[in-house]
Amino acid sequence: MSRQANRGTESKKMSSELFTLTYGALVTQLCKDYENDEDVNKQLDKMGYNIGVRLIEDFLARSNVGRCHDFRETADVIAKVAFKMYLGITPSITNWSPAGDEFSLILENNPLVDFVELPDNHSSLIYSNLLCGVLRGALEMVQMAVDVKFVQDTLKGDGVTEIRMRFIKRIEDNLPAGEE
Amino acid sequence: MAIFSVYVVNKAGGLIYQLDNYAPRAEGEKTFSYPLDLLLKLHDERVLVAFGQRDGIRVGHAVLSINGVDVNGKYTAEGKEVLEYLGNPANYPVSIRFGRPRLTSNEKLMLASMFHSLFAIGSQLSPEQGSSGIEMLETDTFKLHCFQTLTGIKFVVLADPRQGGIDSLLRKIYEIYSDFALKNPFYSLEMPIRCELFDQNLKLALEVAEKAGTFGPGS
Repeated sequence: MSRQANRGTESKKMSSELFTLTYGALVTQLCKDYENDEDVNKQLDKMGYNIGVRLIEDFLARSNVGRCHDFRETADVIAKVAFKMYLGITPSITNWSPAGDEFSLILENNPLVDFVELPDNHSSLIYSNLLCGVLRGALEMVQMAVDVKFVQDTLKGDGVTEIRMRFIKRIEDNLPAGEE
Repeated sequence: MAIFSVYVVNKAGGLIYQLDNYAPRAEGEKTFSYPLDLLLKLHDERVLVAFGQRDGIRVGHAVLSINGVDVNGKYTAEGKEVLEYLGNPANYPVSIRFGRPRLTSNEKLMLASMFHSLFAIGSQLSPEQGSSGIEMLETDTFKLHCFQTLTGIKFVVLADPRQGGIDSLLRKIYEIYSDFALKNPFYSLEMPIRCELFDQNLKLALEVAEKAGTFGPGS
């Protein structure tokens, strides 16, 4: 029997406009509060981290994927299952480093930045930095330390949005039993 | 009441949620006259029956209430010592309720961390690499089912041995946890879960599982 059918709170259709507006309000308020793009970027990353550590459980509970055995599997799951589930897009995976520990996610369109234009006085603002925090937080909860950053952004004039993910190390303390 | 309890244990082995779902078996209140034909003793801050058996009262049962008022460990609600009180013929006839002593929350905390350690030992004992920890513990009166998520949280359910569908119940509890505990921004990770909605939905899920379980296929 399909697990999805059991849920009382089945995926409610909600307008993505409200989502875009909410995120936009969040970023502009942070800009007013902090006045400095670097601080805003840090805050967005922190907020994303807090979302990520919670979102991972939701993801694991609903998608039933098992533990990934290498970074390539992880990349596949992130792009094809996670992004699809939460943002409705499927980024492509490219630019693998020779050691297999870095890759890029190419997003053709980013739902967070629909209708957004970055003004000149916020040129070093990473508008979608929340996503980096989410990915970092979520992977930390499954014992992977990663570094995530934007290398291309359509808001800054690039053709596509590119997120670079680098595997740092496996987190060895507090491993769940049986994972050594 | 085929599902007896639910425990949720965090990554460090601490108990963050516990629910008991069983009605204790009939613990009748009985009236006694002096002298008491049961021998009572003090053990571990509780007054237990050491010898004597009648009317469903067995050795090991604890004094739960005197004259309708719950006792507080070895003291009555007024602060008198239970043994002294029951030794005085002037207090009789008295009605006492005996029953199996319930676990205190401290004891539950200890048992949860002990289970956490045993769970780890279980996977270390395995001859194969990468074994899961304890998934089920079976006794004649209950079965303990355990599910550990990839993030290290354990969901433990104690149920009747004949109860089926516990696997899907464990997954359902995981969903309820990710919804009503984690999506509540005021709930901090790894801390005791004190969310009303989590409670309510968990109880609902238990009811559904109990109705569906005993005569359905395994999962």
